[in-house]
Amino acid sequence: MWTYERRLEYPVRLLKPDARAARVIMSQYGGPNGELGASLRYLAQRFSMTDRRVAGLLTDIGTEELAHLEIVCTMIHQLTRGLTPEQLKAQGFEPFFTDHTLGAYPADVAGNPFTAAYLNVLGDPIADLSEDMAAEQKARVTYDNILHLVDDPDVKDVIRFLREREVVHYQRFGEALELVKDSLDKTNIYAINPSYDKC
Amino acid sequence: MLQMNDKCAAMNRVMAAGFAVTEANLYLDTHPDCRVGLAYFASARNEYEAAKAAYEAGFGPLTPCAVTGQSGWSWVQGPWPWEPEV
Repeated sequence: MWTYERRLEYPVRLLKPDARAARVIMSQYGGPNGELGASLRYLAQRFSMTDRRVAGLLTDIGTEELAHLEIVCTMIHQLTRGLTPEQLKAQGFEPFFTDHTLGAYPADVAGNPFTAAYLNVLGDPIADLSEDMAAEQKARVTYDNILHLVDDPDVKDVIRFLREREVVHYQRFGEALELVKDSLDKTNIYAINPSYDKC
Repeated sequence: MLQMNDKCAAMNRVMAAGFAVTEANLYLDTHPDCRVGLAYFASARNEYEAAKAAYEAGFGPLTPCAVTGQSGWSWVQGPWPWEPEV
């Protein structure tokens, strides 16, 4: 169950349209390291997570990722609103515009549609948490790359907030992995899947 | 203009307090016995509830349950969070 709160997690107020920046930022919505994949990954992994503390963490980070998805879509929306077809063409937005106008379709920067192949749910606590730590680092690097490609200080400010959250989530998943390892048989931690195997 | 600034300030207070709640929430998930963390969460939650109540009293509901009905179904009135207010 979720309830929507009518606000963003972090303020976004972009008054200078920039379709080129929107295109780059779009990858963090529907791309391989984006917020849509992140939210689905964590919210799906909860069900086979044996440690209740970590199942809670997956729920809460997965929920925060939905708020980040909303922030990224808000940036794309504000960066493309009010642009003429000529401006969209000049700013390299015509491939996306052709298929989606200014709708918030989840795709990567090259236009590839979002796919569940961007995430994994192994049903094994150690494998899933290791994936989650890698996913946070990959998202952090993608935000680093975006910071190289955008100029507007207002855009950079929001990207920096999102980047910082990846760092915090990585830290929490690292702690979660330690919690799970501590609860396993210390002499044979990789030979069993505590979600499935009985030992 | 003054009202716009007031609304913006009220929303910023909700966002700041809400962020403190989120951050403490994640920390406590992996440190559920941390007394300092629990005290921080309690204080952040109180500030968040107060900030939400102040915003909703002046500028409208943040959740459907906060609709009072006095000005109709106010949930769908006014700009959504993704619309930039100029």
